[in-house]
Amino acid sequence: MGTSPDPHRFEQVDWNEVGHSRRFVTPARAVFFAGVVLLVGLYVLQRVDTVLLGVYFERIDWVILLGTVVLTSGVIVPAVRRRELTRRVLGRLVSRPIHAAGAVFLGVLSLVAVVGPAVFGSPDLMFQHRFHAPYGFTGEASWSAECLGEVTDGEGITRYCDGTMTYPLGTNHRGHPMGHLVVEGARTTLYVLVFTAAFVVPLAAAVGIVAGFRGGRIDDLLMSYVDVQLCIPAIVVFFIGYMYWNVSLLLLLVMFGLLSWGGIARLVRSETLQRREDGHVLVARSLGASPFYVAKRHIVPNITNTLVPAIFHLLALLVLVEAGVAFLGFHHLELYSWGSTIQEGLDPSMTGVGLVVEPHEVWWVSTFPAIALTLTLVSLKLVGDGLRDALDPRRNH
Amino acid sequence: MTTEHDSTTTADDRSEATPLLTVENLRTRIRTERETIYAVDGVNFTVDRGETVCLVGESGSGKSVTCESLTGIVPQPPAEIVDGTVEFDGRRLLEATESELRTIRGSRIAHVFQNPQSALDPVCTVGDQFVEAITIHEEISPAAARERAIERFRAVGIPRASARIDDYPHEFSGGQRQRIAIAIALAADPDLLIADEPTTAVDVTVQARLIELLQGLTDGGMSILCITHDLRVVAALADRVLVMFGGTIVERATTEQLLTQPSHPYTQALLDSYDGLSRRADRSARGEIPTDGCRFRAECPHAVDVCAGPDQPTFAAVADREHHAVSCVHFGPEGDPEPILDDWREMRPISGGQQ
Repeated sequence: MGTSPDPHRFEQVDWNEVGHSRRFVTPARAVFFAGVVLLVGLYVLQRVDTVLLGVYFERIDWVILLGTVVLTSGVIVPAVRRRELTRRVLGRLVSRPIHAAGAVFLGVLSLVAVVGPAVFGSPDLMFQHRFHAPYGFTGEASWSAECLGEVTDGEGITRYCDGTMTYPLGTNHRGHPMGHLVVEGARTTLYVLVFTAAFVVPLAAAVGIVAGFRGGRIDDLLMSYVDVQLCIPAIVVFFIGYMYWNVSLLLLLVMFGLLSWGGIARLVRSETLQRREDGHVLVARSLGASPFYVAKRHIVPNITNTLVPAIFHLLALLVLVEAGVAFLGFHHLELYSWGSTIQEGLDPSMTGVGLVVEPHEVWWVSTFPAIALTLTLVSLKLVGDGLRDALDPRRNH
Repeated sequence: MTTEHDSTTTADDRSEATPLLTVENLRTRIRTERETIYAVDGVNFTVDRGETVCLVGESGSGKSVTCESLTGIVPQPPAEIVDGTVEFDGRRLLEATESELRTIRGSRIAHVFQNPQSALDPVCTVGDQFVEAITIHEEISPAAARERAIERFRAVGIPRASARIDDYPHEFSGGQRQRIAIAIALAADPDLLIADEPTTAVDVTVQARLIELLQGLTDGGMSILCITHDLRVVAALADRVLVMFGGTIVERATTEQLLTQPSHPYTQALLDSYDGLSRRADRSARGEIPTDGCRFRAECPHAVDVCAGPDQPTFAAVADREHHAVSCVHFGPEGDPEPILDDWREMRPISGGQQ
C-alpha cells in the first residue's frame, strides 16, 4: 500500500537510532532552553553589576521569570503551534458572556500586574497626603497635613476634604495611592498564579499520572507520600520557616505551593486509572506509542474535565492563602499584597499613627483591594469552568 | 541487536519459504490475587504472507490474550508471557525490548479491536488520530499526512472524507468508527493486521461491508489474523481456521475442511451451537476447565482416561488430509476417530435441514 515498496526495509532499521534521535528538538524544548539560557545570561550580567533595563531582580523575580519560561514553552508554544484548536477553544470559552468576562478580567489583571509597576513607578511616601478620599468622596481633613481638594466645613470644628483626581482611588495611612497598592497587589497575585501554574500544577499532574499509569509499587509509594503530605498543615511549616528565615513571598509560595498539590495528584491518579483502561489507550499502544506519548496525548486531554477546574481551584486557593497570610501580617513589609492592604484598611488605628479612625471612615483602603481579590477569585473559578467546557469537544454550545 | 543475528536464513529464503508469523509454544498467564489463570497454554500456529487466519472459540478461550501477547500489548502485569517464541519476519518478538516492540507495533503489526465505541480518542479529531499513527513511526509533512488520511478514509468508505477528517469520533456512527479504526490501524502500512472481533459490535449490514473491506486488504499482500466467533466471518474471510479452547488450540484446518468436517468434539459442539438448537441433551454445565491434558475432557462425550494425560494430546491429521489436524487422543495412533466423526454426520443433516 504505497510507501513500503521494499519488503525487507525492516532489516535496515537500526534499533538504537529509532526512538532516541528523532525529534529531540521540539519547538517547546527549544523555547524552554532558549529562555533558560537567556535567564542565566541576565543573572550573570546582574551578578557583575550590569543591570539591564534599569531593573534589579530579586530572587523571587528570578523564580517567577523561570516560571514564565516554563509556561511559555509548555502552554503558549503548543497553543501557537495548534492555532486552529486554540482558536476554537478560546472561541468557545468566550461564547458565554460570564466566562468571557472572567477571562477578560484575568487578562487585564495580568497586563496591569506586568505593565502597571513599570508605568506608574513606585510613588514616594507622602505622609502629608494620607487618608485622602477617592475622587467624588470626602474624608476628614484633619487626618492629613495637606488637603489637595476643596475643604468644606462640617459640624463644629470638623472639616472635610474632598477627593481629587491626583488620587482617584484615595490614599492609605502612608499616603500611598490606592491605585498603586492595587496594582502592586495584582503583581503579587500574578506571582502566585505563575508560580502555582508553572511548578505546582505540573508536579501534581506528573505525580498523579505516573502513579495512575504505572501502578504497582510506584503508585503505592507516591500515594503514601501524598497521604503523608496532606497531613502536614502548610501554615505550620510556613511559620516554622518564618521563624528561621527571612519572611518572603518565595517562602510562602514554596511552603504552601509544595504542600498543597496532593489533592490534585490524587484526583489525576484516579482519573488516570479509569482512562488507561479505555480502548483508545490500547489502540495507541498497539500503534507503537510510548507510555509518555500515551499519557501526554491520550490521558491528559481526556482528564481535563476534572483537572482544569481543580487547577483553577488550586490557583484561587493559593491566591486566597497569600492574601490571608498577608492579612495576618506575616508578609514582607515592602510587598503590598491585597491582604495586607485590606488589613490596614480594617484596622486603621493600629497603623494610622496617633489617629482615631474608624474602619468605615476610610472604607476605600480595604474595599478596593477586597473587590480586586474577590473579582480575581470569581474570575478564576469562572475561567476554570469555562475552559473545562471549551476543552470538551462533546459539549456543543 | 542480538535478535537480528539469531536467524540463519537469508531474507530471500524467508519471504519465500518461512511464514510471516510463527508462534511456538506460547504461554501467557494472568496472575490475580486469588489464582493464576493459564490464559494461553502452549499455542502453536503460523500465518503466511497474504493469508487470512481466523481464530475461533468461545469467550475466555484465550483468543484475545494470544493476539495481544504477540506484540506484547497485553497488560503486564497482571499478565505474564512465560514461555514460547514468536517469530515475525525473522525477528523474535518475545525477546525484543519494549522500544523495539514499539517500532514494530503499528508499522509492521497493527491491531483492530472489538469495540469501535471506545477505539477512538473522544477529544481528538479522527484525522489527528490517523496522522498520529503515521508520525509515531515516520516523519511526514502535515499536508502529506492529511492527504493520506483523506485517501485512506475514502478507501474504507467514509463519505465526504475530506470534509470529515476534522470531525470528532462522536460525530460518526458505530460502523464508520470501526472503518476509521481500521484505516488508522493500516495507516503505516503494516504487514500483519490482527483484528480482534472486528465485526462483533456492529450491526449485520455493517458487518457485511466490513468483511468486504477486510477481504480487499489481503489482495494487497497483507496478512490478517482475525479473531471471531462468527462463522460467517470465517466462511467469508479465512483461508485457515484455528479453534481455541481453554487456552489451547484444539483443531486447525482450512476453512472448507473445518466447516464440512469439524473433527474435534469441541469444534463440533461449537458449530452445532450456532443455530441455537442443541442436539446434545446431555451437555453438562460448564465447570472448571482443566489446565492439563485435553481441556475439553470434562464436557466431551468421548472422554476417556488418557484424555487426562499431563500434556495436551498431540496433533494428529484427520483422515490423512493436509492442513487438517486435531488435538484429540481418538485421532492418534491408538484411537478410533469414527464415533466422533459419526457424531457430526448425525448432527449435520438436521442442522442442514434447518437452514
